[in-house]
Formats: sequence, C-alpha cells, structure tokens
Amino acid sequence: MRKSQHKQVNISLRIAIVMAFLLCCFVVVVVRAFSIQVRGAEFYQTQGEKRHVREVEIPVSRGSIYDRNGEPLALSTAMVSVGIVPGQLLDQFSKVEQLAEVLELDANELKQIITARKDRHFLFIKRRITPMLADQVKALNMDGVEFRTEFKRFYPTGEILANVVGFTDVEDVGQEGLERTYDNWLTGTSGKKTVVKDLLGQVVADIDIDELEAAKPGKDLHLSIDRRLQYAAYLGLKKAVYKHQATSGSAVVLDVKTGEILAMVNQPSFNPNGSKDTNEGLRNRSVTDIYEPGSVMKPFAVVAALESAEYTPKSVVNTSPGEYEVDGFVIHDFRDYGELSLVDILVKSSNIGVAKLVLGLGKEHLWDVYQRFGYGQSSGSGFMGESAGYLPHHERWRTADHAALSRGYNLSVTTLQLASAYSVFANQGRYRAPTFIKGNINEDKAIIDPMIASQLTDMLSHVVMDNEGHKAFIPNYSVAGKTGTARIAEKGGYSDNYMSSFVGFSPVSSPRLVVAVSINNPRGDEYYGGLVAAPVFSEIMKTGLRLLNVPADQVTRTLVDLNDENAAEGEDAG
Amino acid sequence: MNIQNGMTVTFIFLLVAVLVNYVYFQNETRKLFAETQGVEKEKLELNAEWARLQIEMSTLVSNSRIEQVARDQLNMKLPQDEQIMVIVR
Repeated sequence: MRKSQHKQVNISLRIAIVMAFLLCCFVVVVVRAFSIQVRGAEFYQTQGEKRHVREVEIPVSRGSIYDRNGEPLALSTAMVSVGIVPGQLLDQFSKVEQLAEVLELDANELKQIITARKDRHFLFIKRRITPMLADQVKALNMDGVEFRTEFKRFYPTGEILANVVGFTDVEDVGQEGLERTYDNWLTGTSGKKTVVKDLLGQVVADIDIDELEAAKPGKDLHLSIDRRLQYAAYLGLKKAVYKHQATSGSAVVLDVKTGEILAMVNQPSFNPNGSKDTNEGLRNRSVTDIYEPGSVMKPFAVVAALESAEYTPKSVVNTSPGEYEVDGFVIHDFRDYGELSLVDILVKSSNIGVAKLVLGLGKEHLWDVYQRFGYGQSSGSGFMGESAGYLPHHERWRTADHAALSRGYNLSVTTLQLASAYSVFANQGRYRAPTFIKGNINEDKAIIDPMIASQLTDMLSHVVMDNEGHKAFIPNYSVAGKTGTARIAEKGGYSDNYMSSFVGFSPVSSPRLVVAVSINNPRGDEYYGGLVAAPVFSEIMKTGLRLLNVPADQVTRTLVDLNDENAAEGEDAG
Repeated sequence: MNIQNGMTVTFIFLLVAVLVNYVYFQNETRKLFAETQGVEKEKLELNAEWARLQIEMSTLVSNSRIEQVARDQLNMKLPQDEQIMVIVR
C-alpha cells in the first residue's frame, strides 16, 4: 500500500515535471514567434520581398514615322540589351569568359570592369542584340546577367530622307531633324509595375495594381512627305550635284493648296542606319542654310512696283546703255536691252530694270513687301534648327543696298522660304506657312492683291515660255518660274563661286506644285541657274505632276479628241 | 444541444469548403496569370516580328529596287517626252 502510494506521488510529480517542461518549450516558441512575427516583422517582410517582389519596367517603343501614304520612314524594332550585376559575377569568371565569347567582347576587359565596378547594381555590357543572340546568352544560364528590351531605330528610306527625318541616339532620344523636333510626341513613357516572382524567377502575380504606372507607347507621326516624289527629287538633285561637281544642293516641293512639304531633299546626305561620323550631310540644308538668292528675288521687287500703282505689267523702263551707276556702284546687265516692259525685265532678268523700278518707290515699301513674303522670318514649319534668314531693316539701307536688294543681294534666304514665297503667286496672293505634318494645314492670309498675284503668275510664265528651249520647260504643262545665279559672298567681297537656283510652279492655269531648287557652287563649265537648277526643277516637277495625276493644261500632242464625233468615227472605221 | 452540434458541424463543413475553394481559386488565378504573361510575351514577340516584316517589306518595295526590277527584269522604261500623247476630252 505504502509502496503503491509512493509510486502514485512519483507519477503525478513526473507528470508535473513533463508539463512544466512542455510549458517552457511552449513559452519559448511563443516568445520566439512573437519576436519574429511582431518585433522582427518589418525586417523579415522586407527580406522576403527582396527575394520575391520585383519592380519591373514595361518597355514601350518610340512612335513610327510614316509618309503621307502610310509608307514607313522610321520604325522601332525590339532588341535585347544585356546587362550584368557585377557583384554576382565576381566568383564565376569561367562563365564570364563564355559570356564574353558569345557577345564578342574582350574577356579580360569585361573581368576588369566587373572587379572595378563591383558595387554597381546594374550595367549594360552589350546593347541591342538580336533575339537569336540573346537566346544563346540565356542558354548560359548565369546568375547576375539580366536582359532588357530596348528598341532600335531603322530608317527604310536611308539617305533619301536622312537629313529631314534625322535620327536618334543610343538612348532613343531624337538628335536631329524631325526626330528631334517631334521628340516629345514620338517618345513614350515606359511603365512600372510590381510583381511577385517565384524561386525560378517566373512572375507569379502582379501586386500594387493601383500604383502601377501605365506604359504609354510613343505616338506615330504622319509626315506630309510623299516617298515616291522624295525619291525622284533626291535622284534628280544628286545627279545634278554630281554632274556639275557642286558643293551642295537642296530642293523643296510644296503643295500649293495646303502648304504641305511633299519632298525636301539635300546633298550631301548620309546613311541614318550607319554611323553618323560625317558632319557635312547631317544638316537639312533646305531650312538651315541661308544664302543670297540673286535674281529669283526680282519678282518680289516687281510686286512692289505694281503695288505702287505707278506701273502696270506693260509699263516700259529704259535700261540703256546696259550700265547704271547708283551711289558709286555700277550695275551691269548681260547686254544693253534698251527699253523693257515689266514682263521683259523678268524675262531678260534685267538688273538695271529692277533697280530703276524700286529706287523710285522708297526703301520702306520694298522692305515691307519682302517682309510680307516671309523673308527674314522663320517660315513657321516648326523644324528645329530652322533659320529665319536675314533681311536688314530699311533704315539701315544705303541707296546702293536698296538697288542690291532688288536683285536679291544683301539679304539671305533658305530654299524653303523661296518655295513658300513663290507659292503666294500660285495661291492667289495668300501666304500659307509650310508644314511637315500631313493634314496639319496652317491658316493662310492675304498678303498681296490677288490681281497682282495673277499678273505675276502671267509674267513668270513668260519667263519660261518666251525663252526658247528653257530648261524648266515641261511638255504638255505650262510652267511659271524664275532663275537665279548669285555670286557667293566671301570675306571682303564676292567670289567666283555661284549659287544657281530655280523656283517655279505648274500648271499655270491652276497651280498645284511649287518647286524650289538651289545648287551651291557648281564647278563645271555651266553655272547659270537656267542651265544647272532649271533641269532639276523640270525633272522633279514632271514627276510630281505625274504622281499627283494633275491634268495637263497645255497639250502639244493629242492622240484623239473624244468629243469630236468625226474623229471618233474615223477611229472606229480604221 | 442537438441544434448547436448540428450548426457547428455545418459551419465546419462550410469553413472547409470555403478554404478549399480559396486554395482552388488562388491556384486558378496563378494559372490564368501565367497564361496572361505568356500571351503578353507572345504579343511582344509578334510586335517585334511585325516590325521586322515591315522593315523587310519596306526594303523590298523601296523605289530603287522597284525601278531596278522594272528596268532589268520587266524591260520597262519611262516614256520619253516625245512619246507621250495626251487624250483630250
């Protein structure tokens, strides 16, 4: 009994000891759980998130650039860029060698970079590789190597449109041309989202949907350029620049009705898909380069004369004897033209004729006319880097300057300005700022009397039609325009180098296109605008009228008159 | 007492059912998410492919190539000025 009693006590004591022990364990567990879940919660949560939660960028592409018919001019393609986390690669140099081999990098250099920048979180080692090459890198299965989607810009038209469209740098930021002008429009905003990744690095869930920064892809740009016409204009200009061994050249084609720039070409040019190491071709000379235009300005001097109401197109000016002294400077004509009407002053391009016209009018009036046609001001096309040209204020003109301005010296213009100014004649006296964007048509405003505009149109058509075998002539279409051959200014005077130009429009009865061509410093035997620039004008205009299906207005050879019943019957009988 | 027991059992079953359901749908969500990820990736790839094809097409239809094919393979040429006649209506 005693023994059993003793045993009983013993058992309950043991139970108590075990219970106490278990309780202790439980307390320890609870305390530990408390310390982890409550006191250390933040630490462990961040540690956990560090391992599984990632912020990933949602890459977006830059907007594409298209011509007016939807043909691509600049496209972005997705490429893969390879980056490394240097700290994670320090202990696997054998794999780094494989990586360097696949990417065709110098292995030693890469190792140096890894050691030197081991604290950096991320750095690119090779950008914009093809997805195929990227798969080879992925196959190496290395920690510390990351891939990002980046976009490469491609320009299908190459050098034909290079200095107008421009290009982007390695960060996809527009550097030149329209890529730079419309950079904000074209650039998208890459988005960000937070995701949970599992051990294998697969994304398992999106979190923080609310804070997700939405990705906004870049917007597309539709230019007013017509790729076919651009190509024809480029070939025409390039051929002429080569043939006459000229330093450079530009040509602009404007739609008279809308002010849209249908083509804009320059020589020299460059390949936007290759390295841009030549500086010469990068400029869009049509809008950045200014020069003294010469005789192509004479029609504007004639506008001033007609506005004064002292002259009509039939008024006669005596230009004998072919020399005329103004303020100590002697103005020459090609020869003694005798008495010339205003029309013939333009046809013969008489320097003395225009000088006599404007000297009687007052400086302010001529300045005002030039100003109204947009000289000395930016054309309003919005092209970044566009030059406003140069038109000195009339208060600073001496009499000799006054005469010089009438024949296109002492002021500087761009080829685009010339094209815009001539389109005023073609557009019933209304000026419309040119545009590079399809459908973005600027308001036009009347700057001269429509009557004077039509008189000038008529006079300018005589310039081409009255000169036998004029190189600006286009079969079946009437053409109006004016040549220019200006000496290029040098330090201390004028050189023997010339700027040859031709600006004109067609068809005269209902003008559709304005083409301005300027060729800088032709070094062959020919340098007159009529011989160098006019053939380019005619070639571009001819192609343009054909491409736009403009009806002929001056038919020289007809096949059959369908309204003539006899002719039609005769055709049937035959 | 019986009613209480019955309710407890019902709630336990309900709870189990809800929990199983939760797990099931969590899994379903993951699967659908993985699918969207795959589709998104496919979209990116198709976009890239489209851009590549567009570039390829633009080289194939480039004016200089068409001119060359028209001239060399099809023996075409631009008519000379004197070969052009206009039909007047």
